[in-house]
Amino acid sequence: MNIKEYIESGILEDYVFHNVSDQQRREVECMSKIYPEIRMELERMQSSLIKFIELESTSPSQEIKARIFSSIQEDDYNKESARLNGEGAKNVIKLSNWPKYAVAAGLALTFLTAFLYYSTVKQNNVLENQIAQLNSEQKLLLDRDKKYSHKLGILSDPDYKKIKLNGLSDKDSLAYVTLLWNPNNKSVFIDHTNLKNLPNTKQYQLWALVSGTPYDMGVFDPISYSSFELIPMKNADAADAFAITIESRGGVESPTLSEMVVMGKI
Amino acid sequence: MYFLLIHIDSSELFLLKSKDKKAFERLYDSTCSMMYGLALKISKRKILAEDIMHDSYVKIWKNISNFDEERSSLLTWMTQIVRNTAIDSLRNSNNKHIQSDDMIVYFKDVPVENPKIDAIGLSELVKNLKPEYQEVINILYYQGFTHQEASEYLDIPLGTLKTRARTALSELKLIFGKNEH
Repeated sequence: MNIKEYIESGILEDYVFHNVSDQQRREVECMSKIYPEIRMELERMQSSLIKFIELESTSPSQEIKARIFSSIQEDDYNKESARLNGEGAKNVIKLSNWPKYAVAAGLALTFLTAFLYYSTVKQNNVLENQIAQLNSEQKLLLDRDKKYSHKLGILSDPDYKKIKLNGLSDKDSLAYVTLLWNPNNKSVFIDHTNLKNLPNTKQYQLWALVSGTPYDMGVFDPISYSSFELIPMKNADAADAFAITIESRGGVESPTLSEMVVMGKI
Repeated sequence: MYFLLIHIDSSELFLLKSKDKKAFERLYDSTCSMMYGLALKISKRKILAEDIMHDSYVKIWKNISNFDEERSSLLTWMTQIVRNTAIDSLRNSNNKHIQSDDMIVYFKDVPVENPKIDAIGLSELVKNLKPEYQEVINILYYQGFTHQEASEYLDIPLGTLKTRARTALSELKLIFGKNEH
């Protein structure tokens, strides 16, 4: 690259007079950066032209300065406003979107919580009911077991005499009652399985017959007892036979023979 | 001092690029006469020159942070902005095609309101510049003609125009080179 030739080509003058294409302009700027001689020559030309221009210097009025700086101030103000508006807009966006998301999230959370709470409560209720039911069933079973065990104990106890009281009337011919009596400890139990329930005004009354004399052994309501339990009656020191009559609630002193349901001899 | 502001202090340039209004005001105060003279020279009308000044300095303010000191001096960059703004302004006013008579009296037509005392001596020297060189500078620089347009306008071959343009600048270099402080 012959720098002298490049300088003398006139390209720098063209550049100074703005008579170059964009490509030529870039070329001159590039060359001036690479070669200090070209840069110096270019600066000399530019400074000469500027000095030439400066010869025509004319002081402008103060109004121009005021106008320029007013516009600059306004431009700054607009930029600041735009910046603030931009930030404001961002904030608005943030403020406008944030609550939406928050409300949506809140609602979702509320629904979820409510759903979970409802489900949990529902499940808890179900479980509690199940537990209560199981407890109840367990209690019932334990009670039943206890009663069964008691019944089984008495039935399997050889000290107890098992006496079958048979039905007396045609109507009650199918009825029978099993009576269990332990002569040693005098205790008496009735298995009421085959006895029908009575009106509220009536009760069954058990009698122990000793030498033809009936002795009151107590009244009972079969409905009050389950099938797996025995009804405890008064103790009997001695008996030849046992009989059950239907009497008014509370019982009577002497049995109504016409209302005798079952009887069994020992 | 009319001496050109070719190399600006780096700290001052930093302030300008940082959009420091005080620094910009200092820049304006030190350059406004030159730029106004340039605007007036191109537009030849005070009202138009004032508008050019306003638009140019607002552009300078807006673009100062993009100014590349590696490419040119600040003053060169500023004169380019003022010149381009003025030429665009003229073109918009359909004033591009001036009459040859206007060209002859070009310098005389534009009153120098407040010429700087130091410039008077140089001004006299520039007056010694051959009219053909003054003319080519006026057409190429102040009027923004392309070489081709100027060649057609002055009715001289393109090569002759280019030679005149280079010689004009060389003459200027000689004049100002001798008087550099």
